[in-house]
Amino acid sequence: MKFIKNRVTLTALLSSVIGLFLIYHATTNIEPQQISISDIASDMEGRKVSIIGSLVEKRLHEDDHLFLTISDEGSEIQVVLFSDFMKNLEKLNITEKDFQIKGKISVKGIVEIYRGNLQIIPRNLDDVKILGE
Amino acid sequence: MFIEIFFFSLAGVFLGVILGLLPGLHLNNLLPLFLSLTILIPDPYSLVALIISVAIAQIFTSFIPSIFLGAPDGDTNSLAILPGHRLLLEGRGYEAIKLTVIGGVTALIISIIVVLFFGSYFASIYSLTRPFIAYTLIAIIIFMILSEKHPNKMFFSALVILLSGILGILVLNSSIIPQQNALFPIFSGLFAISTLLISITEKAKIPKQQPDVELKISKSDIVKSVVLAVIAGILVGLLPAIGVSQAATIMQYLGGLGEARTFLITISGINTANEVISLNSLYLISNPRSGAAVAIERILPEISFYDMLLFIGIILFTTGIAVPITLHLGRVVPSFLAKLNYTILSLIIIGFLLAGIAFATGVYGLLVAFTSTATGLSCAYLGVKRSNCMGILLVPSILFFTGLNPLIVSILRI
Repeated sequence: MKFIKNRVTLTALLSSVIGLFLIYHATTNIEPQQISISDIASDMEGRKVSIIGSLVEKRLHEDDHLFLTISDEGSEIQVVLFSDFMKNLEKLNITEKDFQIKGKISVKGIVEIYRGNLQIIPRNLDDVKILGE
Repeated sequence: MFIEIFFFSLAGVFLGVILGLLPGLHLNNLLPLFLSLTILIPDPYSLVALIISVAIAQIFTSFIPSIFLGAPDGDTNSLAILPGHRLLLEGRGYEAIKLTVIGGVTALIISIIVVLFFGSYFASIYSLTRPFIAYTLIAIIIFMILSEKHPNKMFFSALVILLSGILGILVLNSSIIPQQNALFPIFSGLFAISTLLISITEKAKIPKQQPDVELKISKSDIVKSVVLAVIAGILVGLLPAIGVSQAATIMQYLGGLGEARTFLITISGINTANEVISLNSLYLISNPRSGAAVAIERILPEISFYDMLLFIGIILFTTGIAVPITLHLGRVVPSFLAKLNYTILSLIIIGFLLAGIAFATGVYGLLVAFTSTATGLSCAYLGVKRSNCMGILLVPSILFFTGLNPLIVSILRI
């Protein structure tokens, strides 16, 4: 701190750190809303949502991305687990085989639009939970 | 069909000019509205003409508020604020706008030629360059720190990159504010509000603008800036997670484009080259690379070579109208601003930005703007280059390209 002599500079730096702390506190405490798949619309792009549904289809891409189709109350949405995410899940002993068709699954993730279709992209390893039959 | 396309392109230029002049508003905000017009406008090509012409016209006029008012337009031109504002305060505001037009038009024409003759190789460029992006970004950060030369400054540079990088990780990976508007409070704080606050404390004034239009830059520097802009624009258009600002920062260091004039040409050129590639990405790599391209894909599911030619025609037509409008505004606006009280004007702009941030991103957006402003001020007062604030995008991009992002997000539990 010896070389930061100016009081204004120090105030700006402290404000930046305090702001980061507040943002971190907010981000860790904001729980995404649990909603029905039918309520997810294109204007929700970028928002984090939480859904619970049945796995109706799964497809392993040649680049090791896993595409899951989740259904609830007659509506469906695709959940994409990218290869890096799958590799990290494997460290927790969760592999593609653990995702059973008709099994219940809980997913939290960011709503994104890819080629005109809505998708949910989980970011955190805790965001995907296999709830069983 | 030609008449419809012509009139919708004209309407698009008009809308794009207005959109470009309003900081914080972007074509992406209007796309849901445009897509809902499919019921009223049955001809899909008319709607596509409208979207393309808005996208292009907005690029040119968006430099007016960023350079003259210090108000950014998301990621695309926020780095132009500082060099542009510097020229304005030297009485060279019109030259700043003229440079962005020169860079924009030249890069646009070159990128169209590149698309027409080398478009078929773009898919391989995409897969070849992707593995090296993370290493390039890491090298840029190291270079940014080392370029400060003095050990204290190097420490401050690393500190600013770290602070802005943490802010980027938190904001861009969480749902604290809507992701489609996330860059608005970030760039407003880092580059606009902090710069305006410093101008207020230093009692800066907009001087009488110099009437001569002579460019104080060599032809070789113009050529170098445009070539780098086209290369960077193509990469931004093709690669995910690389935005205009990151590419401009990379080119600033790789190409030695630290001077205000060369930088303005480059950042404008990256914008237009990127837009040309993005709008044609559906045909080139069968993958939409921008909000406008996603909207076009919904309107026209199959894109042929002739569709791409039509897109290029609309881009050129729109450029032809948007450029004289931008140059006219570039001549008129600074003379008008010079008559106003700059402190009051700066306060009004800050108020306008904060109101826009509150409207688009709520209370948390204001918190992000406060933190970004503090980081921008820290960078300025510590006496290190403001491009260090680009850690906000560079650090999250490195995590994305190294595949570490899910792990970091998981550790932070955001």
